[in-house]
Amino acid sequence: MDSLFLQQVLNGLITGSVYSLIAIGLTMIFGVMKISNFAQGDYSMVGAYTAVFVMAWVGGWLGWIGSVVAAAAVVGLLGVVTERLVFRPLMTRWTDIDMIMVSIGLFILLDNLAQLFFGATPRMIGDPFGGTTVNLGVASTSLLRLFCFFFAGVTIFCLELFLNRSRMGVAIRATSQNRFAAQLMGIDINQVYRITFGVGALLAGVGGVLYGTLFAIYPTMGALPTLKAFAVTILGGMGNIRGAIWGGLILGVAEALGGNYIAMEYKQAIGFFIIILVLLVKPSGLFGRKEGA
Amino acid sequence: MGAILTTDRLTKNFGGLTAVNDVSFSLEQGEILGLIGPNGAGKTTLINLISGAFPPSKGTITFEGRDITRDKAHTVNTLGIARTFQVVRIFSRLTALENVLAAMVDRKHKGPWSLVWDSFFRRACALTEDKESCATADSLLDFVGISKYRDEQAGNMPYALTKRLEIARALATQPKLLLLDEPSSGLNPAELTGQIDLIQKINAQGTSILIIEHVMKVIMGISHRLIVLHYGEKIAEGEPEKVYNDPLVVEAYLGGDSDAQH
Ligand SMILES: Nc1ncnc2c1ncn2[C@@H]1O[C@H](COP(=O)(O)OP(=O)(O)OP(=O)(O)O)[C@@H](O)[C@H]1O
Ligand SMILES: [Mg+2]
Repeated sequence: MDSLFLQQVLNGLITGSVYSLIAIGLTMIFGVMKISNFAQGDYSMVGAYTAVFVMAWVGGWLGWIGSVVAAAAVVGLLGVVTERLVFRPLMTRWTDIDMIMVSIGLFILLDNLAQLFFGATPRMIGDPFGGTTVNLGVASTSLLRLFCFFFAGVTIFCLELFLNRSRMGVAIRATSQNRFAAQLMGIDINQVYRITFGVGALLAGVGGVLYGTLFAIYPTMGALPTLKAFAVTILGGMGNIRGAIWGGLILGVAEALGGNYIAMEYKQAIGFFIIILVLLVKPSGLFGRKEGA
Repeated sequence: MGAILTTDRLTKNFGGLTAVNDVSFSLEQGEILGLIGPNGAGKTTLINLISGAFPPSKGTITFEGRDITRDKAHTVNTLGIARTFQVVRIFSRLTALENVLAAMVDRKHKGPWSLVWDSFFRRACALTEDKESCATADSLLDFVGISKYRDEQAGNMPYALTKRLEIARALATQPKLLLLDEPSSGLNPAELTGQIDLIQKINAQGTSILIIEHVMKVIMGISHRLIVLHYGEKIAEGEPEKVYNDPLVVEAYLGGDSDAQH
């Protein structure tokens, strides 16, 4: 295989791991609460701006790692607050379509607040490693991008631990499989909703720092990760976390290869192409389960 | 002894349909109370009301002297009422053990943050490594006789055993009152006998039971008393033999489209 191909695969895996992270948050919220959250990418935007501020304040690689932690905290909290103030009051009375409209409203609100407070000028998170590159033999990449991949992996690993080993994790999985039974078994689903939304937003926030490290940061940047996260979620099956992990990597690699071998202009369209294809061929997603199973 | 559960003029309307109509009854401490009636009589709805799945349109529910009419499902459960479902509602992608553990989530802890805190930091991460909870869950699986399926995904278990898993899961919440919605439906005669034994074993440990059942052999065999619903109304109550021969009850069953006589 030629090295350009492997190089693109590596680039794709790195970007894809960030897509996975943001999409897992989306798919978790959908799985547990049946809310399609179109504001997911805006949580990433808030995470990215958190990083801009922390980097301006601390800087260096310590600042970058601090950004990840700060974004997790800030956006996790934002998730908990929006769940409580925006989504929960409407959950029992409103239909799925209403909830989608509400999340779009939230997305527009966050976009405009960001315009207001941060201004329209794009920002960048500088490379705290001074552009150091790492040669992996068959391909090379910057140390910073490797760190992005690493942090996405660590975050996903922690999430898996949380969901599989903790009490709250078991409660979340039980609720996503059968909300009615979970309630009647003494699980307080409002608590489950709060934590799920908090964790789902947190993942988008951490993803936002990584996304903002790879791409530019501006108030309306959230739309793209939202759409990618939906592509990934549809690809992996709605509510399916493993599916979202693989789906993100697949989308990342597909974009990198498509951008290289087909045309750069089509790169962003690949996600939409995947959505259409999956919905036509296997609507439950590549890793989908039968409904209710 | 006294009543553990009392309903007073309980009514539930679904749009124009009155599924439960003015039903008052008491369940004595330690009792097995059978609830029968033709299909669509409102039996499951009555259990839904008691367990807090949805609120009644009218009337009150009192449990151990406390008004639980408006309490949420998880609160009702925490107070000591657990249930199983007519159509099994297990967590099919959790293992049998995890199903039972899921029902123990809120037992020892308070507040969402303590749930996260406990599981991650204080106890160095793990429900599945929490020896005490696991031992309790294991003993419950053993009690209902499905230890063999401990680490099996619940969705892959044989149907009859998922009904037992539901019972184990309900028991994990340490109920004082257990509501069983047709625990024998879909079981073969051998499994039926086992199910009766199990229910009596649970009752012998002091748990009061409200049981809905279409299989007459089961309900007549284990109930201390029976109540009969017909079109949402209570039409009879008392000793099983007497109720079974009550002309009103016979009429309801013959007139209805019930399969209870077979
Ligand atoms: N959530 C609901 N919404 C609307 N109608 C309902 C609902 N639940 C039950 N019903 C209606 O209420 C009536 C009583 O139903 P219920 O399930 O309580 O009967 P049942 O006695 O348990 O019957 P079966 O023996 O068939 O289980 C039925 O006519 C049913 O269609
Ligand atoms: Mg029923």
